[in-house]
Amino acid sequence: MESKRKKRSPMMSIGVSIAFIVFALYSISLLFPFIWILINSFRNVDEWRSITSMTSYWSLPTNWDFSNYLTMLTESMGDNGSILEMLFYSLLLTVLGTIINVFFSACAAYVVAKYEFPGKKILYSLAIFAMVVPIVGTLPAQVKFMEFLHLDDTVIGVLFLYSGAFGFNFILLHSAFQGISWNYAEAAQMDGAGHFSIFFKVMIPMCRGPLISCAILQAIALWNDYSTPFLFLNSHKTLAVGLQAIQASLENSQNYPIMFAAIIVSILPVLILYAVFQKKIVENTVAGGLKG
Amino acid sequence: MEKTKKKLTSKRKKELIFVTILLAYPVLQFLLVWIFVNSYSLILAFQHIDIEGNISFAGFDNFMRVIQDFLDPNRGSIPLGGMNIPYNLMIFLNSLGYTLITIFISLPLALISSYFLSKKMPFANVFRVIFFLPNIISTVALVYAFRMQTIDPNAGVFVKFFEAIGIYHQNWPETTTIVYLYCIWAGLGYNVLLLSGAIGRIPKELFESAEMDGAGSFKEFTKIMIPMIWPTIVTLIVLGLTNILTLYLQPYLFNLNNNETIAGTIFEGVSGSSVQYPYYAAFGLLFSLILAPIILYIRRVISRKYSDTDC
Repeated sequence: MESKRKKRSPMMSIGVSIAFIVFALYSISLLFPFIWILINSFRNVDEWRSITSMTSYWSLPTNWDFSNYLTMLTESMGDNGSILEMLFYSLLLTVLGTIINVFFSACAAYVVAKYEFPGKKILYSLAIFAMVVPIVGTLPAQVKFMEFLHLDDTVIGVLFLYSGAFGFNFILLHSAFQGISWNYAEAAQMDGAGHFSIFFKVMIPMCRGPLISCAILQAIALWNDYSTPFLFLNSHKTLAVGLQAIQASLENSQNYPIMFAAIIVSILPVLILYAVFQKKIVENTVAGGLKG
Repeated sequence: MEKTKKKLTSKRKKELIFVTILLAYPVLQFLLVWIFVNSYSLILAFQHIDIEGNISFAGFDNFMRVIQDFLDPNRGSIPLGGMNIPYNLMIFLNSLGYTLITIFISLPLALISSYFLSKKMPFANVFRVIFFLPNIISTVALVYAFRMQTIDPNAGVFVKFFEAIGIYHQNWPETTTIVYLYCIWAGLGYNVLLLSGAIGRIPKELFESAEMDGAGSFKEFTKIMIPMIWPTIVTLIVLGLTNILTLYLQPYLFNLNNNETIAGTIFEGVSGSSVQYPYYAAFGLLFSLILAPIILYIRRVISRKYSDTDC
């Protein structure tokens, strides 16, 4: 430790100090807007409206008003429904979408990793190709296609789009299943287990770690997803879509604190997930990025 | 593995049935959502849809319209320093900007940052935890927080600052510049994380032996670090390149005048009447056909550099 410290040249120390200051400022710039939003979400709406000078916006609220959260959750936001409703749809799509996506990804990844069958190589290369080649402009076709199937504006339709099994999770789980020795399956076969029970009772439990990681990342991505519910679930809004929709009207009526409370509610679940699974989330994002 | 043409044994049959059942839905979904939709998009680009919904063959009409909107300022344009920029050209420039910004500003910034982050800095782990936040907070909330501080005169600390340096977020290209700034701000953390992960995998002995040979920090940075983490840099450059085709959400959420991108134009296009769908299908196809090969080519060329160091 000491010997290493000696080696550092004075130039390097200056560099590190400057970098430290820059990092600290950047960190503050990331945290501060949200802390500011959190504090002001407790400001009484009337107090907010009476504020005239810039400095007062940056003061603490005179009395901490928790009723903004209650108002926000229960009151209907124009024709957008209440935030409670948005919360419900966000939760529904996130939970079901995550389960469906990870389940089908696991099925596809397991079979491609562990079984021999015609077309296996093509399937794997197609999955990679679909991820690497950027194609835009298929949205009009997708909308028409969903209308044709009568899946537009339905929860089922959004879940159908979320259920794609050949994405990042496929690649991640493919390598995870490849890492598990087939000996376990053979041992189970001796005991008379069929293919299904090997998959569900042996392989899935052994692959629990990667599966949970995939599920957490998927859940965060779906919770934050804007475009799919925006395009394919018009009549019900999720939180991400709803927040964007109510923004203008709340600001015009100077109801900022309500908006702030809604923002806090929308980011709280992912922050909790992040606090609990921080290491897993970071590791897997890094792995996903490298493979992309 | 023997490839006999004998009758399938019952064991093999069971295996194939299992494979079929597990793959049935994933493959069907992939065929429909990927293969079918992409092929249909190709057809749609050559179609004409009228208000009643009647479909007819349009030939290259849609493509011609896209190109005309790209070249002819009389079909809709935006002023810039005495010139009139045709609308589709403006959209292309907006999109190109995201690629240039990511590769020439965000990436070097992230490289320098992660180099220093690897040098025993106090609180390095705290920084890593905070830097990651933009990746998990929804873009809607992030854009809202950024807008609040930079554009909203009600609470923005930086509104005055931007006005002082001449950015008023009313007219193009200032409207796009704000979103560029946002992307640098929100994207830095992810890049730093990926790069410092890669730097962490470089064997320590390499740095030590370089120091023994008297290599300075700059040499260490350019001669050891960059080549060793080149695959990660390639990934980030390719992500930056694809931005030109795929980025849409950030400018869309900022909702300022004339900051649309290629993908954003299509995204907004599908919220409108389906009469316009073939135009946007052609719009997307044309840009993909021209830009995707360029992206893949650049990817191949830059991957080859330092190809002897494989990580």
